[in-house]
Amino acid sequence: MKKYSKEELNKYIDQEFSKEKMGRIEDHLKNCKECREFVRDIKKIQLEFQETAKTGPPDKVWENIERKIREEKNILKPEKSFFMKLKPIWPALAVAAAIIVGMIIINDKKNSSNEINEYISRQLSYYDEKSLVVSWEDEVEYEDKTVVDYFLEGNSDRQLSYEEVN
Amino acid sequence: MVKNSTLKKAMAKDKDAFRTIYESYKDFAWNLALKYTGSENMAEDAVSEVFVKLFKKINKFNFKSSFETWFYRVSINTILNYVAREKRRRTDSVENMKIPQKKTEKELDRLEREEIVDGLLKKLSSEERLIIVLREFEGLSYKEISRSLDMKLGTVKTKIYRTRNKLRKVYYGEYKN
Repeated sequence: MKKYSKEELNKYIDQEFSKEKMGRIEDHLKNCKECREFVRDIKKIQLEFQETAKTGPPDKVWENIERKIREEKNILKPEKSFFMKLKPIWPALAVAAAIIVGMIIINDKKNSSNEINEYISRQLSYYDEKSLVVSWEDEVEYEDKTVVDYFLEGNSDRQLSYEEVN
Repeated sequence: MVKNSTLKKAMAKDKDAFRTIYESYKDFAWNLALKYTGSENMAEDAVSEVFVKLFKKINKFNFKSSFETWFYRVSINTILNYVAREKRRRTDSVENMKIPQKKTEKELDRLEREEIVDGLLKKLSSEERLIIVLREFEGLSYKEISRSLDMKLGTVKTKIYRTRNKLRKVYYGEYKN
């Protein structure tokens, strides 16, 4: 008759086999005293363990734990600082701070750009057609005068250029 | 099992949350310590150490495994270390002496069974004792034992089977008659 190994019988006790194999072993146990006694003995020992009452620790164990934790200077639930109390709204505060900083930077750039624009406007105003003054050698005075006007005014000293005559 | 919200509060050192965790797992730690040490006094100190260590280390729990498995590991390691340290100092004979008191038949049966189990456990090596208590007394699955002890599943099974066989020889050699 086939005998099952102790390992197989342990697996049978733990119900680790398929339904079919469990059935085959059960049939075998009916006819094999040695295997049957092995299974019976192991199950008896398991029962001794399982029926041994499970208890809980006495109350003084928790008191001991509390005391030791305090001795370790890890006080349970320490008082939160003001900063830590604000922890739930940190993300909102971070966003608000970012917006404020951004506005300051933008405003600063805008002011700088206004200053630059004003400077450029002032410079450009010097080059306005009606107000520009240039000397004869270095400057030319532009007025609404024709060449004839120049003669009438007695600017004969001025040598007229070919272009002016024509 | 404890809720994640309770765990997070305990990680923030909330006393009530930590007490909830203690109430959920104290029996496991107590029974393991008691069966492993065979001494109530040692079990009290060992369980205290387990939960003080848990309080200090709970911030390191990363939610990647189940809290139960993590707790089993912490408590097993703490109890083993405690016993290794205390074994050299303590003399068990006086501390383990129980003053006989009148018991009912039911209580006597229970005591007799406890004595039998304690007697069987004393015949085992530390490792055998630990593994059989986890399986047969605490009712952990092979997978849970494997994860808690960081041992291969096949190895756990082999050790359990061998320990059972050993217990059988002791039980039927000493108690059967």
